[in-house]
Amino acid sequence: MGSGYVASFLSTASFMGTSGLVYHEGFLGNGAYMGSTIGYIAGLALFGPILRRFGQFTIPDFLGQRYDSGAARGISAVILFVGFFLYISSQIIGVSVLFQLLFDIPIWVGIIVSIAIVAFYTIAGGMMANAIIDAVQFFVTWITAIIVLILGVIKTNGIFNLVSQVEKYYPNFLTSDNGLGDTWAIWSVMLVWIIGSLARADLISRAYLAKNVREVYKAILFVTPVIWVCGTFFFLYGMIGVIARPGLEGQESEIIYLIMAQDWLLPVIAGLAFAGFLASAQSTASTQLMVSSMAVGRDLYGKLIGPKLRKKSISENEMMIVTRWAMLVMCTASCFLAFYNANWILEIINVSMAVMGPAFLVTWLGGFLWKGATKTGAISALIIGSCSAVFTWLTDFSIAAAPWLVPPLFSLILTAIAFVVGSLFGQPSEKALKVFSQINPKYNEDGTRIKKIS
Amino acid sequence: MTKMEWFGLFFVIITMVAALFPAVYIIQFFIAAPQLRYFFYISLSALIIGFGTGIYGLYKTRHDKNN
Repeated sequence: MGSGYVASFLSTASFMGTSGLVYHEGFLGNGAYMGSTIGYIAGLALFGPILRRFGQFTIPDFLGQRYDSGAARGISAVILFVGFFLYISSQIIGVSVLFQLLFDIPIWVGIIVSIAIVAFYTIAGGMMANAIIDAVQFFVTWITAIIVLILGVIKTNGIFNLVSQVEKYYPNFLTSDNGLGDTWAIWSVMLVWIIGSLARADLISRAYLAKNVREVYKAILFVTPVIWVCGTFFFLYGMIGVIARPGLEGQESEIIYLIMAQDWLLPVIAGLAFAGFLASAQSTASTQLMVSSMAVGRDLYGKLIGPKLRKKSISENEMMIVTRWAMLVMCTASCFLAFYNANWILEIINVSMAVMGPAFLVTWLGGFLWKGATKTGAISALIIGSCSAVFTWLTDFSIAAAPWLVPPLFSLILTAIAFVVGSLFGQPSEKALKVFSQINPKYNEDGTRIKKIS
Repeated sequence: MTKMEWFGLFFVIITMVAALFPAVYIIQFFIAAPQLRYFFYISLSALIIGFGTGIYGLYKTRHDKNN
């Protein structure tokens, strides 16, 4: 479970987006990634054990039952589908760039080939097969990435020498604002990623695969040092790149990792490094494809639309068929978006984070911690959270009198207010309180606290 | 221990030993660039949350082999 979690965490955003951004923007470009490492570790640590104890298949399953609301289930499924549709497109762009570099084929051919590979093993394999493939992919990615890093540090005569060279030739590289004067920018990006990663439904769903809650805790111990290292790991690639391979522009700078691997490694190990990069993108895309398609097949069709249309409950087999069709639709849609936006990797991912971050974070936390949370609060938070986060992110929202109120924080506060105010209208249902007692063993099924017998 | 558990153990050991290299580089980097050390301290919060929850959880579930 732990290696599957890290494999899904490592993506083209790690190898291409972050390294490329750092290459041009210095430490400022690492803000998103550093934020994401905090969010991913904290997300698994805080939510993983609780979700495993609850024991369902999908996040909309949890929200639907916790708030006893079909609407909460439906809206969260739609948010998942839209958010991951954007994210998968960015992964596909990354893989297609790799194909172009390796085989000199046009980007559009790479896009079709890469989505076909991911679609094949995800549709044929299912969630458990997906997790096993992820574990293998993680191992190849991790070992080869570390070999490239070690060689990079050796080629630039060690970290201390590297830093002094960077400070000499790029004086703004090792500042938090890259000399632009906007000191809040890095905190804003960090925060959007902490919030977005904390509530990453695709990765947290991995907790459902663990044998028991104890296994989740073991996975947390495994995941923590690996992901923590990643927070600065890809920054180091970008920094080595500006000294070892200066003057790269556009897409060339985004493939700095691959250029270094090609130049410094034996062909066999370079091949493994390329495979590792490919694997990192595929593992992320396949997990998201699985989770978002299950949201459509199980939650939207299987639990909401299907029973009303067919006037009977939907069997597991039927849900699986619809899930597979949803995968095909998602693959096709992601292909089109990837064609349209081939040079804009990280921006797509940021919007994707914004769609899901505050909406899920508030409804999860509220669902875990507050017995008074109701379905009105959850629905308000899901709608206001996703809409406000996308709006503030896309319109470069800022308040001159309060520069600290960066878009993700503003959106998070707004979502929390909507959740609390919405929850104050009405009472949680009996079913909702029963689920609350399942995830909080200190409470009875009617929502009262269990008294300690002295 | 079963063969699968042995495999898992080696998998974890190799992964962790490999992670030591970048970890050392990262510490060296933040020593060499003290102006960015705030970010290092913030990132340490993730380690504290992760290890704290993991160790506490394992202690709490030490008798629960099947739950």
